[in-house]
Amino acid sequence: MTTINAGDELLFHFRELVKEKILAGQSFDDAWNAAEENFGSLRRYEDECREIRLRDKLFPGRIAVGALVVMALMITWLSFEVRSVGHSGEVLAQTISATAGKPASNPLQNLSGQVLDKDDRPLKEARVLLILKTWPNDRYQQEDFDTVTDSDGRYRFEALVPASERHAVMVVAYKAGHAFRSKYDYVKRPTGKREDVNLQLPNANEVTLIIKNENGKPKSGVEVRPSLRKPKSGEESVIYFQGSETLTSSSDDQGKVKLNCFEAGDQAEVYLKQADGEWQSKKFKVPAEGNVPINLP
Amino acid sequence: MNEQSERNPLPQGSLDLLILRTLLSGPKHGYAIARHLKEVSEQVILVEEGSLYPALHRLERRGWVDSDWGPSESNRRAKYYQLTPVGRKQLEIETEAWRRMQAAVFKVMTYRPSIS
Repeated sequence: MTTINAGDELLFHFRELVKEKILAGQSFDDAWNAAEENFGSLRRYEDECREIRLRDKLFPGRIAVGALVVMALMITWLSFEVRSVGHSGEVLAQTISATAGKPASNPLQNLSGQVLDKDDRPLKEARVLLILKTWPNDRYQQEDFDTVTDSDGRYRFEALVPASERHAVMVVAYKAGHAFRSKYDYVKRPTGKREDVNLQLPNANEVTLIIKNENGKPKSGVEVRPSLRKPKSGEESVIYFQGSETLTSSSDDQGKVKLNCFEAGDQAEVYLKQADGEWQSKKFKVPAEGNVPINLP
Repeated sequence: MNEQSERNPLPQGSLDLLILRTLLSGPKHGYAIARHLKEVSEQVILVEEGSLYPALHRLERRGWVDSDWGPSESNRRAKYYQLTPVGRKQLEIETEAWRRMQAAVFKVMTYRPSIS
């Protein structure tokens, strides 16, 4: 499937412009408005990029049109409210550490934390996915970020969050062999420095999904992404679809795909997509051992 | 605003040369390219986003640059552009042409007819 990333490229540039203007002293709302004005010529960009890139002979006509539609939608999305789709995980209580009433010395705060294994040891090279939700000019915006923990199991996203604006973050830590965990933190009235968002990952039980059609024939090439796990005890953890591309596996010729991110006993949910289909979700219970049959029409 | 109304228009064809030259120091994403041009030129060269990205895609189609996604300084996915060997060669050609033009313009601008 052709991946169109022109919109992602523009969104990144847009976000950097917003950050630049905030650091120059503008309010979040003003910075957002100013950045939108900077991007006023995107319509010209659409036409020119279509001419330059989408007519490349590698792109069939229908995909080129589809790509243009995707680009137009991505660009239009910058100016309109987007409805959030997601679940809530564990709510993290905010600890106020700065003196109330004083403005933040840095208009943009960092977000950092540590990922540990079940024995409280730092977990290096764990992938950390972050969904950031903000409301510039009372319009909802959602962005995704990702990084990998260092040798101390620590991660950091710099200049991420407007210090004086309400925002929410969903942080997910993921590493094969460990059950993923997420934390959700909504900060309605920021008053000080952000606390670290730390996560501890229990060991995972490998589970093999066997994907077949209604006639029992194995389906290969089915893309699978973990989505949600609710352990027997404890809060559920969620991986938003946005930003989870790096966690995708594909079924082999026997329709098998191994997942190593759930605990036995979890109520699990995954996203699945066949080559010519749309993403859909499937739920199952994670066994202590054995396979899980998944039927796809 | 309007910051765009204060921008000095670039001579046609200059943007490609400026992008190639900027990438000589290493891979950069589009925002970094625009920022580099703005800072090095002391705010004289302000590239419109609507011009920058078509130019980058044009250079990529010609094979003078290629691109790859990677983490930015803030751990966000960004598309980085870098010079290809063909692009480096093209930069040499374009730079030489620019120098010749610059020298020619200088001559015209400083020409004073001799007084007999």
